[in-house]
Amino acid sequence: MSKLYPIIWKEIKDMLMDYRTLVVIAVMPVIMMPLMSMASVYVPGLQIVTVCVIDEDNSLTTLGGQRVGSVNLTTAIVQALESNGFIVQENSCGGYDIRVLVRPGFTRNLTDLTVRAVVEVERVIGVQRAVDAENIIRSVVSWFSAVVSQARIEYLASKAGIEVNPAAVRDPVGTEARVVGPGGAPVQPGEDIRVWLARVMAFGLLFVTTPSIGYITDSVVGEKERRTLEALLVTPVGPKALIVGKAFAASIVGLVVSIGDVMGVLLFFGLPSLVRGVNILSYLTPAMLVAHVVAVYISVLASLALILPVLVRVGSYRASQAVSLVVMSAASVIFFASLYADITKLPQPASSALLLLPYTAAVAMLKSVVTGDLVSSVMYALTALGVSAGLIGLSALIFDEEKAVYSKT
Amino acid sequence: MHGLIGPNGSGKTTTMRIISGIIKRFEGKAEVLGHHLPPERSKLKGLVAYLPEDLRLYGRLTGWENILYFAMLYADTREEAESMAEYGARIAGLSEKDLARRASEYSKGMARRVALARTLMTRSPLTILDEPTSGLDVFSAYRMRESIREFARETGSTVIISSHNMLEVQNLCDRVTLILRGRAVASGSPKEIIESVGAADLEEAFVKLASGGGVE
Repeated sequence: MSKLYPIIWKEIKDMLMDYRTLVVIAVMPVIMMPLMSMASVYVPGLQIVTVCVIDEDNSLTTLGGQRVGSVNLTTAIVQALESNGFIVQENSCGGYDIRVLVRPGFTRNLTDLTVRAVVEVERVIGVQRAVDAENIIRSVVSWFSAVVSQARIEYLASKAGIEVNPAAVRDPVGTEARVVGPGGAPVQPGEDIRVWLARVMAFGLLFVTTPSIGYITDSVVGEKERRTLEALLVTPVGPKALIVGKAFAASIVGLVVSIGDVMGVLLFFGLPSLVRGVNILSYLTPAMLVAHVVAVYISVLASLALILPVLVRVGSYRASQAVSLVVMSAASVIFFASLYADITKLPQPASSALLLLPYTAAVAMLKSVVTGDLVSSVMYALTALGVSAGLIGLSALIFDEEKAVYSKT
Repeated sequence: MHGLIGPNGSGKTTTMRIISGIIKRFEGKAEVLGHHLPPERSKLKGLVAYLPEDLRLYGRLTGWENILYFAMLYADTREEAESMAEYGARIAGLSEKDLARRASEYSKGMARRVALARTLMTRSPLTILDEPTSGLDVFSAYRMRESIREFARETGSTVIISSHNMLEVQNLCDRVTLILRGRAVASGSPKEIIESVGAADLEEAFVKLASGGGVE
């Protein structure tokens, strides 16, 4: 291993001279993460969706001492929709994506204890923004229904001459929920949001797998294509030093990428703050950012460690591309699944087996940092690093110099 | 200096790879610098310098860095590596200005000279050059031959060189081996080989020997 230094020296120098690729790699998350953020938060708001609210009843009545009717319901619906950026046409509309219709007699039905008053909502299929509008309308109707039912209870109570708590009658069973940490201690407000942020950050790791695979492929297969491998094989350097040195140098890409990825994460969470006025950034902690940097490095190391055993055996660009695709697809599945599932909660032995995959361990490490379980986070990080190092060691062992020289590129 | 000649596919490169210790499985035996191959193949590491045919450089590195990298693989200290690299540059006739440029900017002739510098700088007791002047213009090929000749004279190192240029082999080499279909069919000084078949020069001797050997 005494010849490790020159190999790392050369690989890093070669990498740094390819500054255009480095810049692209570092900038890609900075561009892609905000684009994702904008695509999910800002772009939907740009869609022009026609919402039509028609109040054919247009009346108010008194119930239980309160003034209720179609007028205050439709007013509330229009206000809620407009505050969410929808353009609402009232009482006259041609084509529409979603229509709210309050028919005559609606207000009268509010005071009739034998019938339900109905709001008709008609939505054209295939318009996501219209689905959002429907959800807003449903929540307003639900609020209005609660108001009316409270008024009805007050009315009935006055008729019966009994004292009631309208809220207790209307909603007699409540939920008192607490969120606690892994040890059972109550967590601070916002911890749940941090866990969600950690899931999104884990998904962001997807962008760091490709560059490292590209670097290690070029580093190993490129030697063969340039015929420099033959010249290297007669030098005092051993195949182990050659493979380990190349893998270590390629993993340095991870550190460069991590800078870009952290910037991307900050922008991902920062942009909604600007667009929607929700300050998500305040939930990010320095520990989360440090954990993200570690997770990026692990993901990069894991990517090249997973492809290396194949590279040293086949040594052709085409074969390496096929394996790259498999590794990247596996990474995509794991990082995408991390948005929805907790690997640690899967049944055994599936959970332990999956946690041996460096990508899965990186995701689990991120989540453990957020929930304050530092022991587990260190354990997951060490598992991922250990498995990656093992794969690199295996690659060094199975590297067949003769086969590498003779195999077709 | 020993020349290896033979038609394409005759086994020159394979022979060179065996001698340099790259090939570990082959039929027969070889003894190189007192080491028996294949069992003692690993003992040759660092003792043999090998310039493969069509070897390219690391394009993003400068010429100097290309030489220095290989020097660092041999040397124990940076100073020793720089000294080796300087020797390689001198013997290949490369100036500081040449070496400061990125290798991707080099002409084929310049790239081959840097590759030659990288090979010769080790001053190994056995240097193997696989078609070092192949595809080069007359001037570049001449410069390469001069560097190889000067290196052999200075170091006393054994140089094995393969080439399709019979005039080059005749002028450079003390001994020549003709390989046909993986077998050495003639060996001796260029003069001996030429006289053995009554040819005017090595090229004519090659054609006569190769035709007799059934080469199409």
